Amino acid sequence: MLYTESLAKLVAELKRMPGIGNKSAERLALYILGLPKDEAGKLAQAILQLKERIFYCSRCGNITEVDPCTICQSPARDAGILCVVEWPNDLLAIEKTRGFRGHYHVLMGAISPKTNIGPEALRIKELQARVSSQQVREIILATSPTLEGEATAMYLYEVLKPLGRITHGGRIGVCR
Amino acid sequence: MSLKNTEAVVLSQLRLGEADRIITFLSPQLGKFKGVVKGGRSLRCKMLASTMPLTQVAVWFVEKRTSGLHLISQCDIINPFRTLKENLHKLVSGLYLTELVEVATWEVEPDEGLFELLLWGLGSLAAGERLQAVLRIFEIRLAVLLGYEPQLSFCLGCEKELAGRESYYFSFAKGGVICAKCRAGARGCKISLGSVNFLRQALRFQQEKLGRLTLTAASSKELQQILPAYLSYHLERKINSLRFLNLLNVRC
Repeated sequence: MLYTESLAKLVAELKRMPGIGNKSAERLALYILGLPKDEAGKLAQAILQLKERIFYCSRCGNITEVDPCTICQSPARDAGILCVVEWPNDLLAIEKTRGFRGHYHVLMGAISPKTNIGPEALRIKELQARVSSQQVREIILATSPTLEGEATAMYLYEVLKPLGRITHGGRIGVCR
Repeated sequence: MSLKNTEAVVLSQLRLGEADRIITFLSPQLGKFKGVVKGGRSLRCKMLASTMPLTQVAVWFVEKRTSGLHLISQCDIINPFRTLKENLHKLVSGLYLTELVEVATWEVEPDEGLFELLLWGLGSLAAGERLQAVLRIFEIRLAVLLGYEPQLSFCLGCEKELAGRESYYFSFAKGGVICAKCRAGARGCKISLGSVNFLRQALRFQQEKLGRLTLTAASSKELQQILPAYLSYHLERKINSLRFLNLLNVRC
């Protein structure tokens, strides 16, 4: 055996992460091995805390430690504008621009007919309920520029059309 | 390794690792083949638009003899079928056609007829409003190309010619029409003579004249049940996009 049992176990776990191959996993495992015990403990604690404390916001679907999330709770944000994204990392990308001050709705994916992901697998009913109950003036569909993203945007447009009028710019916005 | 080029239709995309994509093409000369676009998942990728499914392209690739997964070096758009991608119903119909072709074909088996049929299908969906008629014509013609041409002239049991007064059934297992007497417990969907005539004409007409064919609402409903199930039965595969397509049909 090339590695000791514990090292082999850590390399195998690290290899399962995206973008980490055998060499990178080996390098990370050896780095962790070289860390002082309390530093390695902090890393393990951070991973455990992440799994224990973080969940999805019941209102928008963002990753959060408090429910509703800080974005949904913030009085400085305009609840009348709703930006619909596919995944929480899309929300983070828009937040990093610091240009959007409205609320979000995370769908948790996109419609993909070929892989059997239909609208019922996404948080579309929650979006409809939110649009009906909340004072939403404008919905921005910020799905990805792929065929699946376009299909999702077109489906949402059809579903949300009865709730308001279409703004200029066609399928990327619905106004109540 | 040699650089080759061919005309093709993009059938589907698949993620490969963190940054790349595997693209499945259908070409008249090479049949179905797969290629890797390095950095294809990046928004800066020059081939992002041209490797979108439902696009007719001219593709240049480095042939890999060992893996069967070629390296795509250039991909230029011939026809983007733009109007197909701007309407949800048309888009899902197009995805259904490409899924059917992908499921029904083996890699590297050239079939010019199939390529022409797919181009006709996508072009007709993009151009017109008769989505159901286009889908049914595509399905029956695909069945013929795959060697599953159904018998539509006489009953497969008693071999009598089809007549107006009888009621008929379409048997998937027997591959054609059977009369009520010969059915005798065998599984089959009810089919009207109007629908049978539509299928006969869909097979007889030349491709450029298929636009003249009309499909009544009753026949459309009937054939919508029969043809996808007939293809699924023989391909021994479930067509995923059909579920969403049916959902849209109900909503319409």
